[in-house]
Amino acid sequence: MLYTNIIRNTYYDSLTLMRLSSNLSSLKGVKQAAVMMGTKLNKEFLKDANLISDEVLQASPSDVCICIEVEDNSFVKSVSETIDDFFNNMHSQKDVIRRPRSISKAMDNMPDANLAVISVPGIYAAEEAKKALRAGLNVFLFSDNVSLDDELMLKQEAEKNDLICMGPDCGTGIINGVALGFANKVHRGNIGIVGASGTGIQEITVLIHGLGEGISHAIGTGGRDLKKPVNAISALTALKSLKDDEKTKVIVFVSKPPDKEIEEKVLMELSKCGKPVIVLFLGSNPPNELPQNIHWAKNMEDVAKCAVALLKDEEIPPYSIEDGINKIEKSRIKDEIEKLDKNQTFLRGLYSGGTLCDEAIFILAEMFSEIWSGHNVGSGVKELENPFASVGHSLIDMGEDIFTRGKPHPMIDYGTRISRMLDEAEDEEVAVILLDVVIGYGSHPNPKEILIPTIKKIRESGKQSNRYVSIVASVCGTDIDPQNLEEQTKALEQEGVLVFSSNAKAAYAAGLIANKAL
Amino acid sequence: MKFDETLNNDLKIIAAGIDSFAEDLTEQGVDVINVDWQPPASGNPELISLLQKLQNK
Repeated sequence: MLYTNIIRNTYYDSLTLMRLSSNLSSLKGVKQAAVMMGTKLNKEFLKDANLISDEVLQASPSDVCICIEVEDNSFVKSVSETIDDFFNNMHSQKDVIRRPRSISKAMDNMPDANLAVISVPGIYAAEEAKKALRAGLNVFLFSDNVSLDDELMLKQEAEKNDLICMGPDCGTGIINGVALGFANKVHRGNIGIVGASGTGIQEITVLIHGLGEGISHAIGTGGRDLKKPVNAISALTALKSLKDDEKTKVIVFVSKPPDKEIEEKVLMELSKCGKPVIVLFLGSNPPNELPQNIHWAKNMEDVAKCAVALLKDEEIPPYSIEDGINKIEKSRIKDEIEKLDKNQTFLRGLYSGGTLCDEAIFILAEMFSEIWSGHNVGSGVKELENPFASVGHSLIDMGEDIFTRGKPHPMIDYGTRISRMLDEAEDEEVAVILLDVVIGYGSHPNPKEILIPTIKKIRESGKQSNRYVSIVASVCGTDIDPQNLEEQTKALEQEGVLVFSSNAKAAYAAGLIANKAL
Repeated sequence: MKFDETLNNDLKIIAAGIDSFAEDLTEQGVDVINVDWQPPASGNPELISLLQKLQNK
């Protein structure tokens, strides 16, 4: 039966509502639950999920719709108590001081504000960002679903006033040591990053931190900035600022391959910046001639190592993933291979970070003749017709829209990934499951709590069928992140997971295991 | 404040949207005001478009 509860004229952000939805979904007797604002798009989702009712159809975009399918009437009491507890708890945590209702009202209380962090739903985001820019604020725009025209308008408005609009769809930033959105807590230092890639910035910053150096600023631009219509407006503003920034001694530039014309423009600017630069256009080859100050990196681990070497004025060490895998790791890989049956040959990568997934795909594409991806990455990698069902060696970015419609991102909620892990482990041809575990601000507060019981289940089921599935992971995080890198790593290792210090190494090791060749 | 100047100053942030982002900033010791944001015109698209036209006049 369907249980519906509408809370009129009350707005809660999508993360808050998804948290309630997760709590409700885990209750006994609940088949499925969705909590969303009553927008047209959300109503379509609820209709598709068979959670629609007349009350929901009549709800307005400013009403919260709580839609739950329960087994029978007897479970309604616990559902309604959970809803009450959730909102009571939220209200008791809220400030007693009245919060301003708009950015301009907030400016009255903080006239020297210099940055707006905007994460309202996409349809309202451009308008709020425009107001912030016109009030003289730089903008970190996390919201997605902003039109290309609006993105261009916002970035031109920012450029005109010597401001920056990071985003739309900007997941990560570190400005003056402050982590914005999904970002890790890292040492401050002298390496500056410009990136059109959220988890790309996260992986590079944590690897630099792990090598004992730090970040001056990491400036996200949003994924479309290096596309022709936007013309790299934010990337060029960020570059100019890092060029003039005294703290920044080395510059890193990371993104998916830009449009050719934009690539030339960016490389030209980088060549004139007067500082050593490392460029990573993931999956793309360097041009025939590179300016002298630019080093072309192979992957994110290579970026971090180069940046640190250049900062220390040392010669750039030759890089190969293979050389980075130490003796103990090699022996553990060998042990894993020995535990596998003959017919276990496939690798399944289940990712929460898009750039991490792409990096793994490009590494594994050099090891296997055929790799399947859940999304289009080009470079001859085959795209799965149905991303919900793996074939051969498959790598899936579970943060893609098709997996997150009406659900929290897999960096926050492991539900979808866990259920996919269990399914993949049941496939008799699967040798190894490859994972990224992204910690830091914004991400799940304690991934090990969720992953360990799942791994135990896989191990238990393996014992019964006399089959072992290898699990390989990298944890993208630091020792000073709220979730703590060491705690997460140790817990996973105790359950037999092979944990590597970088995504590149984890992908390579998983490839060796599936290939049964060390 | 110009972006290059912002890089040399403490951040003073106005946040609108996801509450946990503002909470993370507060935890980092940043000066932040979290706007109690609500969809304009109760989320009614026609009214919003009308309001925008009026504001842009």
